[in-house]
Amino acid sequence: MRVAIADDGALFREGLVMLLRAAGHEVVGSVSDGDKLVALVATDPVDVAILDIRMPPEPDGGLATAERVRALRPETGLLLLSHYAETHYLMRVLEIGTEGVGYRLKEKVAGVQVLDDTLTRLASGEIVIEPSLAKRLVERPAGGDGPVGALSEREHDVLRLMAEGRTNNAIAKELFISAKAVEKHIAAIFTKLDLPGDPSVHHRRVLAVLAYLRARRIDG
Amino acid sequence: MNPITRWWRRVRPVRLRPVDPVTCALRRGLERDLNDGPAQRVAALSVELGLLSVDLPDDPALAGRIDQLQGSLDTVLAELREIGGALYPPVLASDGFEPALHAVAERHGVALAVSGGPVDRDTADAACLAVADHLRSVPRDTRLDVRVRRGLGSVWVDITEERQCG
Repeated sequence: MRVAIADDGALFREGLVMLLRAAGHEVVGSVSDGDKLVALVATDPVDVAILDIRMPPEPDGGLATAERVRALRPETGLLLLSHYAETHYLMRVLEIGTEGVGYRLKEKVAGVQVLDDTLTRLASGEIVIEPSLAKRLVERPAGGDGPVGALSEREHDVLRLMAEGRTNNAIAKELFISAKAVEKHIAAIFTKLDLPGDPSVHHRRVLAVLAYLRARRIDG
Repeated sequence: MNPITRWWRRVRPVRLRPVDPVTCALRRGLERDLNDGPAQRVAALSVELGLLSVDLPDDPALAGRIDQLQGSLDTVLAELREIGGALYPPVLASDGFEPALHAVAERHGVALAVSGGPVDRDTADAACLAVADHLRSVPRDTRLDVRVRRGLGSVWVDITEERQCG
């Protein structure tokens, strides 16, 4: 896969370049700010662009740059990295696009396998969300009441994996159940949470789940 | 919830600790130093370990130890993140008062409604840090209503709280 990286932290950036090469990817460019990345992908298209959220142009250059890259090269996958797992940034990432976008913590892509998995998912148009953030979003409230509290243990696991942006097949593999069983659980979750939209359309379903979970956390 | 308890909770006065401009700037700078220094170095170390495991001979025991080390670094970063977020919520720098308070509330499992907001950056910083410090001190599942009123050369922040009392 052809990849470009923009991060103003040279130490982390150079490490990631080596890791990408070790994973067999071609690193087309490694730059320190958003403007340079835009110039780079304009002349030399890549499959995935990796961007640090907090880099120049300040204060959130990664998000603004990702928007410009999406407008310039809509087919390029975008992986936004941060030291913070914030639902606010997640929502901003999803405003940039709902296909081939990802938001992960920097330290969580520090292995060849996880990096490979993340890039492959992005290149195939999936949404990739930091699992620890998804986990926080699906946490049951202390009292255990409300619609999320009413989900079965298995449905709760499925909801968490949906919030990570996982496809039916990936959920089935992770939970050692059939794809058919996953579909049934998802239908039950959509009914219990009264979610809008078609659960079979991947990105719509991720958006519906995230919007619901975030509203639940914020509005109580 | 018992309506009388609820009423009592609602009128309980909340005293915010004001944060002066010098402290605001200091906290903002410390968070940035933490992010650009130690947090970045530790994340880079984790990448180094990831590279090391590529070069190592195929040995499950060694791979397991590297996984453990990376897990320990994840914990260090989570702790640094906790400190950084308490010093100065990252969303405050990028998106301002209201999104920052919602981000802090969401992290702590506290429900929040915000109305009104300060105009200039310095007041937004001071008001947000004062409210954020308070948010971190209330139990999970508290509901807070934050109202900001602008006065002459000053800002009033009213908070009402409702707790889930068993």
